[in-house]
Amino acid sequence: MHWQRRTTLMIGIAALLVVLAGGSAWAAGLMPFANRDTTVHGTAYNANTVAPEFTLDAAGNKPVSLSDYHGDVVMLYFGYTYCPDICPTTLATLARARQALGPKADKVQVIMITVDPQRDTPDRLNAYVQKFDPSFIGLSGSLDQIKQVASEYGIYFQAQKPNANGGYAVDHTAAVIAIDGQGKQRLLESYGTTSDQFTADIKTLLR
Amino acid sequence: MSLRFVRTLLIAGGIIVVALLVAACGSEDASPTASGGSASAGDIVVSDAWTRPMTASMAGMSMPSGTPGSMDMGNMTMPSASPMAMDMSVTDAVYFTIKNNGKTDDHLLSAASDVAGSTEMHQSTLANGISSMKPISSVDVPAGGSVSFDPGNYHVMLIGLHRDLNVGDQFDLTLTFKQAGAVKVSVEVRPN
Repeated sequence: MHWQRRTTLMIGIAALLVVLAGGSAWAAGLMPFANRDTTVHGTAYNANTVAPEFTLDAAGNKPVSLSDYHGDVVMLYFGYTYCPDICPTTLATLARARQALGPKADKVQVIMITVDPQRDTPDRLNAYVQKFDPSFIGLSGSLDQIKQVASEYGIYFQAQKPNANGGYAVDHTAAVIAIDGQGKQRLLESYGTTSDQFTADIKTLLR
Repeated sequence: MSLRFVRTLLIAGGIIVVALLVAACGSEDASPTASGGSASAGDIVVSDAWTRPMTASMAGMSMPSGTPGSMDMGNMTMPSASPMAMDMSVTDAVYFTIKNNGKTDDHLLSAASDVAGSTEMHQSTLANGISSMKPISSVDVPAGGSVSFDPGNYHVMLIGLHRDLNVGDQFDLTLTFKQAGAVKVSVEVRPN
C-alpha cells in the first residue's frame, strides 16, 4: 500500500515539474518570438537569389541603380503616388521601422519604384516618398523599363480603366522585398507587416 | 511529503503558468488609441476621423488640379486607349469609425469635403498579395453595429487637395447617411 502511494506521488511531482518547466519556457520564450532576431517575419527567398540589377530615374532624372546601394539593406516597394491607402500605409510603416533602428538606419535604403510611370514623374514621386522619410527615394522610367523590373522581381501591376475624370487606380503586388548588403534578394514582406517586424527583419539582414 | 502539499504545489504551479501566459499575451496588443473628431446625427455617431499629412502640390507638378493635362509625355504610352486629360492631383485617404445606435439599418451614401476637388468612397482589397481599389456607392451600417474605415479596407479618398494637410490641422468632412442625414465631422491630420 505504502509504496504504491509513494509511486503515485513521485509520478505526480514529475508531471508537475514537466508542466511548470514547459509552461514557463513556452510563456517566456515562445510568445514574443516574433520580435526576436533569431527568426524572420518575411518569407525567405531561396539562398543566393541575386536581386536583379536595375537603373531607373530618381529626382531630376538622375539615374540610380540598385548596385549604388551595395552594402546597405534595400527595402524595395512597388507603388504609385495616386494610391491613397495601401501605399501610404506601407511607406509610413517603413518610415517607423527605419526610425526605430537608430544609428543603423543609415544602412537602410527604402526605394519605391512606381507602377504608374505615366503620372509619376521622378520629381513627383520623390516629393511624395520624402513626405514619409527624407531618406526615401522614388524611381520612375518608361513603362517598358518598369514592366521589365517588376517582372524580374515577380511583381504584378495593371492599371484599371480610367473613370470619367481621367483618374485611375493601379492594381499591384503590395509586398516589400528586402535585399541585403551583398545584393541578395532575401525576404518578401507581405502587406500588413508591422514596423516592429520590419525592424527585426532589417536587423537580421544587417548582421 | 504529504498529498496535501503536492496538491498545493500543483495549484500554485498552475497559477504561475496561467499568470505567465496572461502576461505574455497581454503585451501583444498594445495598440494606441488616439482621439479624433467625433460628431453625430440621429442614431449615427462618427468618431476618430483622421488622415495623413500630404502636400497639395508636389515638386515637378506645378499645374493646379483640374487643369487639363498638357505634360510632355515623351514616348510613354497611356495605360488605355483613352488620351484624355490627366488628373495631376494629389490624393489622400480619410479614416473613421461609424456607430449606429438605432434599431434600423442605415447606409453611408456619400462623403464631401472642400479641402479636395472631389471625394469618393473606396475599398481596398487584397487578393493573392495584389492590392486593388474600387469605388463604392454605399456602405451599410447595421442597426446596433459599427463600421470601420481603416487602412487596407474602406476609406474616403480625397482627390485633388486644395491645400497642404499638415500634422495637427483639422478640416470638415460631411458624411451623408440615408436615414440620419448629414454628419459633419472634424478630421484630424495625424503624423505618419
